[in-house]
Amino acid sequence: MADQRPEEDDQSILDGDRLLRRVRRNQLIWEDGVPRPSSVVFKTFRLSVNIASLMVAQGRALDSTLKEHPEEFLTAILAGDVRKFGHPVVKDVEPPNDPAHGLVLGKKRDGFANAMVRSQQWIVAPAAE
Amino acid sequence: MLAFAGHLDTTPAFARREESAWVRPQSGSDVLARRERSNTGSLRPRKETLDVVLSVDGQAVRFSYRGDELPHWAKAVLTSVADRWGCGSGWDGYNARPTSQALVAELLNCLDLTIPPGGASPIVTPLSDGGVQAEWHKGDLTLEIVVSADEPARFYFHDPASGREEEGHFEEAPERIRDFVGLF
Repeated sequence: MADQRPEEDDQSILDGDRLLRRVRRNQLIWEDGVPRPSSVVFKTFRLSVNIASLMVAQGRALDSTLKEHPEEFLTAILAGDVRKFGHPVVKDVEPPNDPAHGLVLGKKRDGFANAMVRSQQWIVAPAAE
Repeated sequence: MLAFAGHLDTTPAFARREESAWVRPQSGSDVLARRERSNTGSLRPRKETLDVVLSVDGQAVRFSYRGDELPHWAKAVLTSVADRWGCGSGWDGYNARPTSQALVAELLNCLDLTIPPGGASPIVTPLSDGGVQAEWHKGDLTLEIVVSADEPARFYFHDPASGREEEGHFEEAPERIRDFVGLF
């Protein structure tokens, strides 16, 4: 039987750690030629991210997250911003996952997703039009 | 199960082809009857049915519209729907489900209820669970109507200038959402 225990927040992921999420072109919003992610990017129940501190410790460039996804873009949110809304952040690095893989858990409300849009920082941004 | 079937004047406007209604059953409310009571002028007997065909990744996706003329916002919205459709499992590079035609129809009907004459058309963006959301932006002002797979349609509004932030179920506030749309 599957383990039903809730996954607890991993405090070894510091509040200032960046959580990286890939963004597809059909998830972009353009306003006055400036792109930003739609809030849909942050509404997934088990939101897959790469944990920046793990990538750095592994000697990997952050933009290598896009190695297999060259048509996509990369944004970052802070673990501390996620926790303000009560969402646990956990590592999920067991193979075959990426060794820097993590998850932001829980049902995401629209207010959370839009707060993440406001605070996100592009790591690899689309070219402004 | 279809909601409101059999009432011609209040039959929802958009449906997947060969269907006649869209709204998932929701407790204790009748959005369309509420619209009728609000006398906003957009409800009238709909006797004609138009076929709407979108080209999505080379495939034809068909909807029907109960009316003799598509609303003013339909062309821009349908273009956005077709251009941004989530095609195939994992379309987001993770584990997304393909966009659901039924949920698109539901969103179109939410828009039919809330975009006033001359109102701005939203951008439509697919959700990872197969749903879709319509979104309007004007500076920092944001409005979303969200139709996801796991709960009734909802809305989100944020105006940083006034500090006003609201979210809730669509069925509880179509008139208020209509007022919000008028801000864009």
